[in-house]
Amino acid sequence: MRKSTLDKKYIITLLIENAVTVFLVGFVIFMVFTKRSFSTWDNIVNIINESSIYGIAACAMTVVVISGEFDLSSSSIFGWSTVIFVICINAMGIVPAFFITLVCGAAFGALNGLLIAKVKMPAFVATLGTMIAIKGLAYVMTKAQPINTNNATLKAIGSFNMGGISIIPIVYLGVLVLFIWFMRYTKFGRDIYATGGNYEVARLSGINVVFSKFIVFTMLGAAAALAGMMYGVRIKAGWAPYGQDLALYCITATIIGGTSLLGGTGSVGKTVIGVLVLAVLFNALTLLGVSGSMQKFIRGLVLITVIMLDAVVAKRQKE
Amino acid sequence: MKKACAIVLMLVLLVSVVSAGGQKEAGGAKKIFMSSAYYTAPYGAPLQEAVREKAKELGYTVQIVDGEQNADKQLSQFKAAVADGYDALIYWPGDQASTPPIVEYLNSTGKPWVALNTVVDASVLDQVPCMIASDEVEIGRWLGRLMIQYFEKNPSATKNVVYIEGSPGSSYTENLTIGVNEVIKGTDINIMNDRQFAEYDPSRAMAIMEDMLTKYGDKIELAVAQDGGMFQGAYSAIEAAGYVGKLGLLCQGQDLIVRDKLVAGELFASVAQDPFTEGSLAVEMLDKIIRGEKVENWFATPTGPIFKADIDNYRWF
Repeated sequence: MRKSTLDKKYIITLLIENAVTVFLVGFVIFMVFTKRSFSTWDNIVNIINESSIYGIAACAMTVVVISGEFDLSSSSIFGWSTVIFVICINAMGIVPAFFITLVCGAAFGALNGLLIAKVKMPAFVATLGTMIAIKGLAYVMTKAQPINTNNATLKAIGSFNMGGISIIPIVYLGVLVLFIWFMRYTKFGRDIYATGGNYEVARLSGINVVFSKFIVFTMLGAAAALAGMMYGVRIKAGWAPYGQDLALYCITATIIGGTSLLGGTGSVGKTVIGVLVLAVLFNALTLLGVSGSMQKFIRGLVLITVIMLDAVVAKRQKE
Repeated sequence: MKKACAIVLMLVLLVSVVSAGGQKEAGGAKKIFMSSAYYTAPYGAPLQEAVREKAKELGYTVQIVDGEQNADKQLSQFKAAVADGYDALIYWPGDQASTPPIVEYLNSTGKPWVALNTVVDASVLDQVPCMIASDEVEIGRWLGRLMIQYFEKNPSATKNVVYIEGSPGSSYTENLTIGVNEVIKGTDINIMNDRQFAEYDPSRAMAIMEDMLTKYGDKIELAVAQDGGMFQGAYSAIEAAGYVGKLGLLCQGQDLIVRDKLVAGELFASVAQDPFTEGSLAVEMLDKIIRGEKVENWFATPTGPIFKADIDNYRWF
């Protein structure tokens, strides 16, 4: 009798702890039986391609959140990167454009890292400032005009696909593996967990907490730049306002994936679930014929529900 | 308590998704899918309402989703719609530069489609079956002409104007300014400010106007805004500074705020851009394409000035 009560409690705890995955699986099953078009290969490929661009930045955002911080400026770095990528492609070709854009993104990230880790500015203030400044700079670069490109190499890269899957999910997969390895198997990854878990304790135990924070922002800058370039590959255009919802999307995916905003816990792998939940939800709501306004309401509700579930799990774990 | 809240929210979420998704289309009716880059813009709401009304009148069901000015998202939305078997598509782009891949995709589907409001990039304009949009430069020209008319009625040696624009780089903003400059070039109208962008945000327009009033005060003779929302913001600043009636006001727009100020005689004139006509035309043209009829590649939404005496001739929103 006692054993079955324990089993029941264990199953309930397991279900609540994995509520997001349970929700995703349940929702996918619901969609497969409700909408035949949902499970077509074309639609699955569409979901994968769509989720990959922001997914790249979401991996790095997870690392920043694990370190106990967050970054609003990644949206502007993304927009800037689409601009500089297209300008450089038109002027110099794709290889220099790739490296220049990546270095610029990393440099902006490093600036954030410097302001937050070294100057000790609150992340909200520092990244709000750089968000506005970088966006302004991108406007200045293009005289506020959107620009596009007819570069043949970019077109060839953009039209590459394997069974409908474009190059972007392949890049996303590479970034994902790199971040999972970095966070799980390197000392530096563990230092980031320690820094986010308890900054003072980490510092006193000899971890270079300033450097840890500096690096996570630099990585996010580079990842946002890479995501911006992937957007350029898909859309073949650049403009400062592109990706303005990126930061919020990445933070949402990270929270849905179970990474705590307080830092110290979470994983990049779980953020993939968060990214998938958002992508499947957006796609499903469109297929279900839900209007734009209602979609916004449901998306907000998902976020609140997940945060509430997170709080329930945290309380249960304490008990 | 938290557990109870989480359960309640999960239930609300489930009910929302199921009930929202459960609104089935009428059996056999053809389905139109529209991705609107400006879903939540003041101009978007009446335009989308007109699309729904016209579609219903012609026997179609329609789904309109928010493209959030994100070309990548719009592309994915169209792919999902095509996978779901929609019969025809309406595309309202966010900006010109990102339109080529979407235009190419829409053509590759073989489905009837039309583009709406934001003119696509020149490189693919001839590939669009039908473009329904206002002549944006012409709207700008009308603003310019009305500036000249204002100073003909209110003669001044200085002709100082504060001109508030929308979003930097958006084709609409840029084209309006091209039209304005084309008409006032060679006149002695003096735009006092450097380019000031309120990004269609009334509070930003208010802040810009406050700054202009602080800087130039009663030297300002006419304030011009590129839309009704920004006009409202600028008006609030002018009202707070006690300048209503002391300077002229001019804008583009057909919303109720504009109407009220025209009725009150505080607004000299507005330039019409009719979202109802535009939305309705989009469905009409799409219907013709579906039925295999020939349509013009470009269908311009009528534009022109609205004065106090004309207000009953327009549909306001």
